Amino acid sequence: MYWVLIKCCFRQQFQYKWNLLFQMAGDWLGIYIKICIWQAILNAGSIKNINFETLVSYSVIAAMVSGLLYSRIAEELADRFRTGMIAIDFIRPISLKWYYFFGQLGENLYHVLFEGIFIAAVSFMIWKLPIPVPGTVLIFLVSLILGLLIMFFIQYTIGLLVFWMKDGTYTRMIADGLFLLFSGIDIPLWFYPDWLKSLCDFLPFSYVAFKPISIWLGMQEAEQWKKILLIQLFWVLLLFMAERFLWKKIQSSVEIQGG
Amino acid sequence: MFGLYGAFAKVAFLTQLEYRGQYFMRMIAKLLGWSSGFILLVILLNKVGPVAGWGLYEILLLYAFDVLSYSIAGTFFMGGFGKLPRLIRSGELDGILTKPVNPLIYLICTKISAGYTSNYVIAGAMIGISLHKLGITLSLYQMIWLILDIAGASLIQAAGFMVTTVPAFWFLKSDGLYRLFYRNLTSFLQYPLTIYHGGIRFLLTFLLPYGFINFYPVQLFVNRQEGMPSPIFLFLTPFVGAGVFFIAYRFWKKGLNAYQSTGS
Repeated sequence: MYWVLIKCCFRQQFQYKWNLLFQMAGDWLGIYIKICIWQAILNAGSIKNINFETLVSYSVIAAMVSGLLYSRIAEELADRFRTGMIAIDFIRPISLKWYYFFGQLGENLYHVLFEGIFIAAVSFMIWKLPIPVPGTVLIFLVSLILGLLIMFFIQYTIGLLVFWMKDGTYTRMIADGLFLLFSGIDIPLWFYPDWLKSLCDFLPFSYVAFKPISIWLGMQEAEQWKKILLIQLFWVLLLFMAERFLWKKIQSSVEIQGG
Repeated sequence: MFGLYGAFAKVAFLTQLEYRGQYFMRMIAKLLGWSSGFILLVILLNKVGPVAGWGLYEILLLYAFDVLSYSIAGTFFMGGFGKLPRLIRSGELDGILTKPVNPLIYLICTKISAGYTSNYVIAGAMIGISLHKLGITLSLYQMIWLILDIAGASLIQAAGFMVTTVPAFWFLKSDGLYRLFYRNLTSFLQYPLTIYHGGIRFLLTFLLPYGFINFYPVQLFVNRQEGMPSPIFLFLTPFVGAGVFFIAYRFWKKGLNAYQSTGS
């Protein structure tokens, strides 16, 4: 009886360890694929003004950023709407939004610290990637946090749309698709045609990934990073208001229905 | 017998079409999700030119083969095998085992997915456009090979789903395996395998034959013979597909036996 219990617990632990190992191997593969692609592109010789180290740094940092952005908020919100749990959330003293934000952030930080930093450190050593001066790192971090806030608000606001759309998976897929296209998380915006690049400047997504990363890479002068931070703040405020507006609307329509 | 399975599949398919609004949303989401991959590829290659000698439309052809075969396999296998760990834990699988039908076919038919239709359209169109832009007109003989290759590639993808999720019979969870050995390893396929280290090519040819999904068969149509020990590799996809699917089926049987003999 106890033996079975021990075996079960061990298996569970084992499972976790394997999962972590698999995940790390998978993340490495992702970075390796990116690096091979950049190498092949540079070998072809049509790109002259960007060097290998910059592209590798970009991909490694982008992998960290996307690790921090992982989110299940849309699905969880959908679940709460479906089961009616959301009614309780209206009367809770703690805001549902911040509860999710810190919950998800904690989880993601755990992953990024546990494996992400390790991967980053090793890749920075292998490819001897340059690390910027502490001041730049600081600005990068501020801009990264603002970026996370922007993305979180986008995810949360889109998650709230589930109230009308009924299904969370697909609202999230749409958000993910837009993010992939316009943020520069997969391919740096340098490679985008000019018209698309200027479109990206008008959308919030590039302020989550491309702009913070290019601050890290030192591609922005002082003038520019101040502008980036200001625009990020603007987006945070705008999305915050949009979310408030939606939340009020949902609250009132739920109360009307519920009586 | 086939009538029965057909009826299961039809019901499963139609249930998903029932909620029009939701189905429409799902189509848009999938359309956006999958076409964004194509769009990014077009953006990048338009800027940087050919990668390892492969032009934009050749690489799009590779990608389209991957997406199309994934979607065909996904239609039949994703529903059942993606949720296999959950089916085992919730006991739903036990219900299936009590039915007097082949459990695999039952699983496939009742969990058939209507969500991949948009992918057929995107990937099919991409294959058409790429062949057109490359100035390739398929002869009847090539047309037959195209169909055989897509069928073989879909079997390889399906075997990939099965082999990486069936260990759930022993471990109850298999998400990690599935992510690494299926998701992550198939992401090599987006570009010609010649850009990676020889070891990766070996791995994806002989150990986990994902290379036969697109890299080898596509070269028949674009007139290349890269990264292969012998030109016979151009024609192996349908055989590899049948072979690995057979192995995957045996593995599923084994898993099912192990599951049943635990007695619970």
